[in-house]
Amino acid sequence: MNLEGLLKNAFAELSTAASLDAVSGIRAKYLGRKGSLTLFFKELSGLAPDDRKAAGEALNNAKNAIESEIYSLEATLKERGKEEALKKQTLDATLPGRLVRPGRTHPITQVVDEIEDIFLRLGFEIAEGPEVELDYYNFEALNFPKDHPARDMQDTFFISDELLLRTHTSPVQIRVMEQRRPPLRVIAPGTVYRRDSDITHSPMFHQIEGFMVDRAIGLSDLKGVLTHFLKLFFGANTAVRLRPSFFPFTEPSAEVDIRCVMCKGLGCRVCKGSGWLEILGAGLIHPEVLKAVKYDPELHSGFAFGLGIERVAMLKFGIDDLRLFFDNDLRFLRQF
Amino acid sequence: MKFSYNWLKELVPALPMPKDLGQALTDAGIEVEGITPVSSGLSGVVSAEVMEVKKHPNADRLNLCEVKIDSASYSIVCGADNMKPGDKVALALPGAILPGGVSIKKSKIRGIESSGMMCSESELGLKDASVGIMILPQDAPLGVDINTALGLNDFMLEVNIMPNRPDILSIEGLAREIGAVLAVECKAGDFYLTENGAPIEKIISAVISEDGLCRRYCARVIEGVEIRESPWLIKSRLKSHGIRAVNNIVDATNYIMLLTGHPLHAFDLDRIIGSRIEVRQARHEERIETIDGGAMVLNDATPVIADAERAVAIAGIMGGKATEIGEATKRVLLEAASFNPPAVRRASKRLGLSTDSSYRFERGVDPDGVARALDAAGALMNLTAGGSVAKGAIDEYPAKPIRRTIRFRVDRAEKLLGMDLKAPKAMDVFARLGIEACLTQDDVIDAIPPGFRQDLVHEIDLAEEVARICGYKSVLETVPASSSLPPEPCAQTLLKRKIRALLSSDGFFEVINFSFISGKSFNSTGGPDRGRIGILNPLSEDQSILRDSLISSLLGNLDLNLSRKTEDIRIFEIAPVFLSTDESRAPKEQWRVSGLIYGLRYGLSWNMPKDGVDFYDIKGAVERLVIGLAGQGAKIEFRPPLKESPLSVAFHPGKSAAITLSGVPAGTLGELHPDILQEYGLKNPAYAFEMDLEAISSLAGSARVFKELPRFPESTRDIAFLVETQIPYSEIIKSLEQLGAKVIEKVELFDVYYGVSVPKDQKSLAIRLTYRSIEKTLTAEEVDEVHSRAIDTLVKRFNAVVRDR
Repeated sequence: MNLEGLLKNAFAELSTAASLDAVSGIRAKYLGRKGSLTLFFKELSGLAPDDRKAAGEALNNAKNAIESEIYSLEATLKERGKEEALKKQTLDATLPGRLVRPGRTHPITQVVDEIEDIFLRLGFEIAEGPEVELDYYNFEALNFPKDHPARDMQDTFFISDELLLRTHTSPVQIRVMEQRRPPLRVIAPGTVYRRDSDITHSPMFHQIEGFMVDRAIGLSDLKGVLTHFLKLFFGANTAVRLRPSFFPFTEPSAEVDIRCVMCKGLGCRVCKGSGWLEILGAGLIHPEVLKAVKYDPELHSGFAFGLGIERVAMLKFGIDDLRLFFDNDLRFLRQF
Repeated sequence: MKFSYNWLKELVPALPMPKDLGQALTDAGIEVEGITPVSSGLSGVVSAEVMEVKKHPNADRLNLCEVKIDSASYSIVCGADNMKPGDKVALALPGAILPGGVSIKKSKIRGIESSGMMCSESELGLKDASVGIMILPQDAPLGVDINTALGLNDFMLEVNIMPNRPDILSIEGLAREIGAVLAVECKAGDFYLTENGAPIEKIISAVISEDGLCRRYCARVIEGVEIRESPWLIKSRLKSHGIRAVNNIVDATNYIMLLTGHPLHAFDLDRIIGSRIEVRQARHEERIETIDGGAMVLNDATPVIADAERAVAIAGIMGGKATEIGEATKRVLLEAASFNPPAVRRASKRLGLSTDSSYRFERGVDPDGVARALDAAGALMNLTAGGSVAKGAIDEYPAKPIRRTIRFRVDRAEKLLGMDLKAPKAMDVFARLGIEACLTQDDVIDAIPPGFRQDLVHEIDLAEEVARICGYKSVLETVPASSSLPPEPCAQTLLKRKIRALLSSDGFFEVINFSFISGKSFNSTGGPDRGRIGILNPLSEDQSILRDSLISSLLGNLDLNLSRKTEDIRIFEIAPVFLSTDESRAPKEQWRVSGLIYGLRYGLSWNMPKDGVDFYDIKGAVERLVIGLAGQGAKIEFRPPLKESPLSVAFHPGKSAAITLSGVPAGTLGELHPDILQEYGLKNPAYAFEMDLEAISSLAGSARVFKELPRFPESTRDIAFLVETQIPYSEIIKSLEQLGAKVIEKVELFDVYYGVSVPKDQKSLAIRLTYRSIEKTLTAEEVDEVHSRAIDTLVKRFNAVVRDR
């Protein structure tokens, strides 16, 4: 056989070799001690020196070609073998991961945090006040005189003649204003209590109070700030309207409504067919309240608002039963 | 309060349809909460035309009529004879229902079939008595339901009237408001009183014997009345406004109250002793039986109406039984007054007696309107009960209100409201509201509100009226300029947020519970004899005491979740607790964080151990919380529970610990007391912690200081040894750390073992000591030297037996 034929045969065999064993067989067949190429080398010594050089070069080239092909084939086969071996090492990736399940904050807390964050961005600060409150801060200083029917608007739990569970977060207004001078931008989230318990009333619930006092704050500022807040919270397309109302500690007073988030204003059970949802009570701080904290109503004015967290949370999450917030059923709490 | 749409329409002819009216009022701050149609009780009655009237062939007193609706013709037998061909009548066809539930059928009357009935006004329920059938107006359309033809169906408006607007607690008041809001004409009720009796001063007089009880007291006398039922219209209006009809006299007082907002009371004059009425405070423990049958014991701060001997009414609240109008009543003393609002309210609250009358008086009744209401009621009584009205009226008016002038600056109102406002616009609003207004100089209006608007006192009140009548739609939207830089964040809020984030990422769910608990819960989760803060007027015993620990609430949550088959529980709450202080002052509110765990540590999972939680789980949770807040350098210690801490009572005395942070007591943790586990029927132990937020807050502020990373290698040595069970691990580790602070980098406990091969009362501990210097590489000899001192310490101080040395 001539060298050319040998080379051709070797490559043909390599091209069909499917395993490392087959490759090493081919290596032995051509390059081994008795390999057919090795035999050609042995014949070199019988050639004339001039011929020997050229023949030697040709043999070396052939050997290199075969070896290089074998190396690359071996590398390919090894890689393929490894891949196949790894493919056999499997697990069920759909089994649940090893997990210590994280908990959650309460949905009320989540809503409070979100509202706080919006007002913090508007430069408001957060203040707190006691839940057992003096009659003075809860009513008197907020322009609810003793023996006035306005007190019936908020059924009260009493601790003693002068102490009660605060019925709203508005006393924080008085406490802050007593200690500080304008300008003020404050929100006061907190727990409040009313002596009322049925499907739509809980004896304990949560409010956020907010107020701003500065020179020349007007009703239009209230409208601007609250509209901005409501659009950030409920979405940019939220329609907002103000309606006249009455609270003893604001004048003028307003109810702030948003277009019903459930029916988009067409009228449904949630909005009682009106297309609007009452969200906030608000108004300009009453001059009598400013006087009670020794501010001059001619110099400073301000607005205040109060918002019930549960109601907002119910709308946001589509919850239809107020009592779920206080049952603390984990099947409920896990959803938020 | 409820208002009849039809009644309002009598006073406001241009009244819009109910839905539009509701919207307009709501937009003006008079919130209409509901509009309910009220049926007349009539159905199947239509307007029809009489074609022919002839005598009934078999009965002289009956007529036989041909009546037509469109092209259909009906033969009707009829007893009346006031109709003639061409008259329009109300025809009840078979199947029709009349008020009182009477249903009409085809019937044969004296041999002739009558296919329906022509109705009289009384049969239609429009009048109590009537003669003949009802003849409809000539222009009445034919074949139309009679409710529509006569406007018999009404709507009741449910209006939420705020406490500052007592002036609209009446049909006239609301009509007046509607007139102002819509700028339409509004009429007042018409009554003509004829005085044709004896002069009143010959009969009775009145005196207000104390200041501050009564702003005005008026009365009239009507003699010779006849007690009977009221006319149908009055009864039906009372009923639709929620008032029970009694008799013509009492009904007249209520009817006029609904119409004018002025409560009135009628006494049987013959049962009044003496000839003088006195408005006074009740005597100490004076008794009165009220007309509802209640026996009241009054005190000396209850205004009453009295005759010569006794109280005959609780002023402004309810009349007395002794002088009640009865069937035999012939002479009536009719009272109208304006009692002092706080006095009525105090008495009403104290007696637990609230009436339509007290509701109005405590909100304020305009004294100026009293006499007119009295006359209206007198006229109505005279109309329905006959008799003669005595000449003149009693009118004691000691406190004529001063009508104050309010200075209204247009430019200031414009600024405060943030709307475009000009003086003529304000003047127009004032005129509509009945406010006397005078533009005195540029943009300043002197305004005098009408007497019935007692809520208008300040300039800002008038500004609100302007905004209200113009509509809040005209208020602009502006962004207030800030005159200050944003403030510091609130440390308390940040702390709570951090704690919530740490605990919830540690598998805890936040709960929110009521602050009030039952006496039983209070007793079982704290020491006996500790002060308690009770609610004077709780909704129930379960919600009667303010909690001084969060643990009983968490136990309640555990209980509820177990009952709903959620059995692996990690919950926490952040809330204030209420601690009684020595003084009778406000309780101390202390913010706490409390957590509770129960059930399997990892829940039911294929790849996690199915172990129940234990003490070291709750301890780990507390440690992770503290490290999360303060970093690795946190100084947290667990000591034997404090006997004097009320909280420790809730815990197992041997399996709980007091938590201290940097040496300051911060709370308690451990297994809950077996008595509590039993009380809640818990199969497995529950573990809890409760910590004081103030103690934790000192941690959150602690600065974290960088320590250089070690540059020299460490070497480690393990020791396993036996010590008595009683010796706390913390003592051991403390003594080792003290031993060579410079070279002992850390001590790690990696095994604790009790049981086989360990003597009773002993435990086997295995620790790894890591030795390292920050200055150089320690030699083996140096490490050995310290290590053997460590072993000596264990042996000498703790009597340890070192194993496998």
